[in-house]
Amino acid sequence: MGKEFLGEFEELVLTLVAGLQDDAYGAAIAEEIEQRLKRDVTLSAVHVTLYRLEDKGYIKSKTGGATKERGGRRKRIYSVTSAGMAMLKTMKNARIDLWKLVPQLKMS
Amino acid sequence: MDKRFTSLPGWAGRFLRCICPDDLYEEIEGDLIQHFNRNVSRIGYHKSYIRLCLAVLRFFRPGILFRNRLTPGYNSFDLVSNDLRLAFRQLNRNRMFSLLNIAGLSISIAVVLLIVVYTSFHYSFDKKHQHFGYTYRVYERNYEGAALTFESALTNYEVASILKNEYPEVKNCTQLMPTDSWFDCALRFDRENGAVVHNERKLFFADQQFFEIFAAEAIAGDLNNALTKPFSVVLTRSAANRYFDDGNPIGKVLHLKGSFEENNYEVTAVIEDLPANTHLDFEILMSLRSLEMNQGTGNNDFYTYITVERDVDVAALEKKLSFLSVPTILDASQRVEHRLQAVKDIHLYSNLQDEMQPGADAEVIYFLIAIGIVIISIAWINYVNLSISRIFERARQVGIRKVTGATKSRIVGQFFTESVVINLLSLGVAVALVRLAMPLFQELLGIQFSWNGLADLGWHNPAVYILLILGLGVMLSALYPSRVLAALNPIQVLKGKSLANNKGSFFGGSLITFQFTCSIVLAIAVIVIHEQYSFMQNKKLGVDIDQMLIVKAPSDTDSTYQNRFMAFKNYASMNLQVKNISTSTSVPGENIEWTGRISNPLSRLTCNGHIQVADTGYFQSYNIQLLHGRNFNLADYPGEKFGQKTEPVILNEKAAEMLGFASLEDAIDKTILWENNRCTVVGVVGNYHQQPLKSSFKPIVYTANSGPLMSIKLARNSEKDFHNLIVMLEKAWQKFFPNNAFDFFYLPDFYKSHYRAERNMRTVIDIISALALVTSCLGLLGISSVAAKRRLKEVTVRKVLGAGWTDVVYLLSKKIIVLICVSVLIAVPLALIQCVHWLGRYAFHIDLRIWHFTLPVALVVLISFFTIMSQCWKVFMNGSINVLKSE
Repeated sequence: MGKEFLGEFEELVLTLVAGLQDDAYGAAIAEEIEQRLKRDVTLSAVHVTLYRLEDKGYIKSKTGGATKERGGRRKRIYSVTSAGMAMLKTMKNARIDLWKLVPQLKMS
Repeated sequence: MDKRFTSLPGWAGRFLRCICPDDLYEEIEGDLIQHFNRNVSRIGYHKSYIRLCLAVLRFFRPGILFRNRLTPGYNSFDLVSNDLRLAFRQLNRNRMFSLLNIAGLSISIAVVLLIVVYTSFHYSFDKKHQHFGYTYRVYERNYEGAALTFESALTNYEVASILKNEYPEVKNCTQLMPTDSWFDCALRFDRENGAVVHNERKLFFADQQFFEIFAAEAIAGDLNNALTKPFSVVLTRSAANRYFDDGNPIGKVLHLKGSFEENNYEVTAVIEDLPANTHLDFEILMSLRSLEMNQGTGNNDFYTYITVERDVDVAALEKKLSFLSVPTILDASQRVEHRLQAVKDIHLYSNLQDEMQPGADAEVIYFLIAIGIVIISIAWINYVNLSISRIFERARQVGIRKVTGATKSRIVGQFFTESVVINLLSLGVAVALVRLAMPLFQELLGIQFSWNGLADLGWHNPAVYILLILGLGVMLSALYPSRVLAALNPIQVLKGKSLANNKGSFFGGSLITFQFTCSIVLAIAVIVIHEQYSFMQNKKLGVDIDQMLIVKAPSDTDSTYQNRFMAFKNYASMNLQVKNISTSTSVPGENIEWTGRISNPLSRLTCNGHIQVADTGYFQSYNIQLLHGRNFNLADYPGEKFGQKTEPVILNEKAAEMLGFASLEDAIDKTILWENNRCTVVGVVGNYHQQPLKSSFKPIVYTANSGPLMSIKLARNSEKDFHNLIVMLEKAWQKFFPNNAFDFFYLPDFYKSHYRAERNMRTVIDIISALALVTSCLGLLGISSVAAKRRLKEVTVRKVLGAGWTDVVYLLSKKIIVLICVSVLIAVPLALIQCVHWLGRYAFHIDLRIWHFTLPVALVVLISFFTIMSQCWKVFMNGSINVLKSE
């Protein structure tokens, strides 16, 4: 996978896009991060990251449905491309490999 | 109440739309709204509103901003080139319009550039020294009781050592002692084939620290320790060239013969001539320590400069300096206070007694800057006005473009492109004009400067201003017309409805009023300035300076000097063209450098009197009126030492008045004190203009003796033979005073040179004002021609129905006439205030008269009237049938 690599936040967003599937759009991802990780995140940061991932070719987007809650504005639904999936897998494996290097402490 | 949003609040939406790329806007907005609505139910309306605002603001980040297409993709390149094509097409179609605009703009940009160059030159003074920001000159304020009597740039010698020892804030200190108050100061270099002698006026004594504070570059020798040893001298290049033809001047010996010092000095270094932009004015520097050895440092005769550390609070230091006192012979009532002035400000803002050289006048510079701003605004206003008046022509074009799908921003873009093209073209012409005018300009203003020198000045660099002017011009001139046109409703326009735009016509009208106000104020200023200068040049000076040749007396004064001098005088007088010869310490037109404290023991009044030595023939040869008492005679000359007897003096009217004598006769035979010497007033002479008319009469005290300047009054018709006469005098001079320089000047020329700066400034203002007037007339021509063209059909119909020539003129010009009247009402009081202020700076000035105002106003009105008239005539003479047939 060459020299391409992802930042921590990018990886997070990419994983969530993969996880949320048909419900992966900016506001939902931000909410998910806030709820699951208890981490303050701004909408703009999520959006910028999404665009960057799209530029890199890991995700693709299509316009989705509008809801009343959104004032009738359409969503942009993101989905992971195969390149994105491969990237996620490589990263996961790399993490596991690295984790194996850590001496495992015996918990009593 | 449902506190949920269905769209973003107005400002947030607009802000977001500005910064977001179009294709992302909807999604982002939706996310924001959704986020907000979910927040409302959780944390309440207000908190979530604040969060929404922050969230919106946070979209202002590079990741979003740079997603807007910045690089001209192929699409926007197409648009730009299309805009350019349209702009050139417009220029070509309306040649008259383009020509007027480009002519007006290029003239005014050229003027502004010249003004920028001139003011940058003056602001560049003394900015080359290493520590210019931290270098200050110490100056004196002299008080008599509580009243400020005079401020002098010179201080006492002791000030330097006190500053060095008692003020830790002072990092470095240097002193310069001028020699221009000496009667004689001549340098001699002996070589095999005779000596070279010159009288030196720009010779100073200085210490070694001078080179640590001020920038100087050695072209020979070494500046380290150049002035450390006594009897060493540093020359500038041009001074060195006077004495040494070629070869190395280092180590050569010059002999100084001055009033207070005579010795041999060894050349230790040669430096480059001083640049034009420094307040320093010396050619020769001699080591100050040579004077310390013979106690020649007692006078208040020193320029004192200090540098301070970066973090020193100068205001506090200045306060501390007010406690600095030097041991001088002062009366109890006299008080001297020391102040500081930044070296970089001396040229523009300092106007003290004993300046090293006269500085520039900051007010003149401000005036020029103001004129620059006025003239360029006039040109931009022309552009705006012409564009507005052509709205009717352009409206249809804009309508069509809008119908075929042009957005508002595309229309605005088109007008901006047009403005850029016109401004750029004008700038090109302007730069060419500046290059052409530069030699003339430099000669007029008497400045020498190089573009390179200015380029070092950072933001004073003209290139910065060129860009600034261009940017501002484009913005200002395109903003209004493009907005008006872009806002047009295409349906109305295409239906041919009239564009009743009252707001626009008011805007245009106020612009025209502004233009005319400026032109009228300038025209009045020109007239008043002219009157004042011709008044000054024609005013009786109270002294007869015609046919006066001034020769500097020899500095070589030994015991035989008096006899030789008399012999030369007799010899020269034998020439028929010489009417008489007298001697004195200074001549009219010169600044009297020698001042002293004069007091009247009876009235207890004192004044800082100018001291002038005059011989028995002085008043007669200058035709100065002796009002009371008698002239000097030979018995009045002082004996061995001045002050042994009660010295007779003659006062001028002003001095008699300031010393509080009841009348001029009353002063005769009264005793006054000059410092501590008792003097008897033997006569009173009339006031005359010793200095240019800008300054008022000064009190002058004459004492009898022969002085170092010889005034030779020539016969009336001597001009033809002037050259032979000089040759004859010089020959005689060399015979009587070998090894002395023959230095002479012609007094009327010298006198005129005082007014040169002002005369040149007048020429500059004349030219600029004329250009301003031309520019605003160009605008008027454009506006009236467009108006006339637009109403061509109306006028023709009226003509056919029997309207006469006067009706047509009335019809076409009544609006502009009203505007001109308003301008007159605004301009005249404005000009009045300005003129009164300006004339107040001259001690002798003209009284303002009504015609000073009516003439320029009439002129401006007439010129504009003819401009309009020419357009009316064109319309009137148009064949009626052709016009009516054309549609």
